[in-house]
Amino acid sequence: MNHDEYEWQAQESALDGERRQRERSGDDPLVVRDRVIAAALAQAPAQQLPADFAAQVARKVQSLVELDTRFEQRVQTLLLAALALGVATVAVIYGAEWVQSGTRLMSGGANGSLHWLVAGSTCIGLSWLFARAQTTPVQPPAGLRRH
Amino acid sequence: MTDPATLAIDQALVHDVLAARAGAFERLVLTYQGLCWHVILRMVRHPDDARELCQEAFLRVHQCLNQYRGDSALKSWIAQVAYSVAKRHLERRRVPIADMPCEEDGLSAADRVADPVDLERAHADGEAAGLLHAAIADLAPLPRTILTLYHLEEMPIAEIASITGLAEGTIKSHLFRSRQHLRAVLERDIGAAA
Repeated sequence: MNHDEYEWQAQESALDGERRQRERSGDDPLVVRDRVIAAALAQAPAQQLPADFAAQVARKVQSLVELDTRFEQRVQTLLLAALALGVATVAVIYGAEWVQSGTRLMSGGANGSLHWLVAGSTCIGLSWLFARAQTTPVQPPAGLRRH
Repeated sequence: MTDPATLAIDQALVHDVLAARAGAFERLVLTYQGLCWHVILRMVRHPDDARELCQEAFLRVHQCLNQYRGDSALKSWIAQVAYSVAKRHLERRRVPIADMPCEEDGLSAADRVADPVDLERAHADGEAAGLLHAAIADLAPLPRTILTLYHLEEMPIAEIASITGLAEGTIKSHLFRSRQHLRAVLERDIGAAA
């Protein structure tokens, strides 16, 4: 064993001795010196966080979350208003054309209406199937399962 | 290696915080504030800065908790966040984090061995502790933090390596050289006082 390895072993042995609160009397002199250092290193700093630090941080996080939620709600309202305005504008511009097309379609007889009814039902059915597939519950990790 | 029971407790706590259960985040902060404080205070040294950075670290933990995958203990993950917050703070202030203090007279620790009985007596008087705390404070931020994680938080070398992003050999080298330096300081000063 070279000198560095010997010193490393002494440092580790000192750390172990301090953790186990072993008597110092039987230790190698090098280990005795390192135990003084290990004891100092295991001491927590004198300065501490304020006693209500956790509560303060939790309150701050809560207020930030509320701020985020309020911001999201405002953006959502703004986007919905823009969407409604867009729909209204398009309806004003193309509304007359849509009414004419609808009237022509309905007057095409029962056969034409049936095709549109089948197409519409297929769309609704597929959307429902996709939504159902996405909402299938996922099993929580093994550590979180309640027995 | 973290035991499965600890990982299960960690995951349950993370699950509660992500589900916004009342008091869950405060519980998480209470559990890990000591660790966070030790890492940050050892890195930056100034208690006022450390308090602010500790708060910043927990805000970041809350923000990024959904990225915690449970591969390692929550303790390591939080220590990693605290370490990176403190490191960035020091980098912004251009404080070098890894310089070791120079040996003043070029002698190795072994050349300056004082009588261990003197050291024990000094330790009992609290004189050695005072000298050592001053010497620890004089170390560079990185070795000071590595010593704290290893001795105070009792983290294994592999975990410290993952927190700091350094190789295990580098961590061992920092531990070895820092403890050697502390011993040299202690022997020199106790020897001078005797």
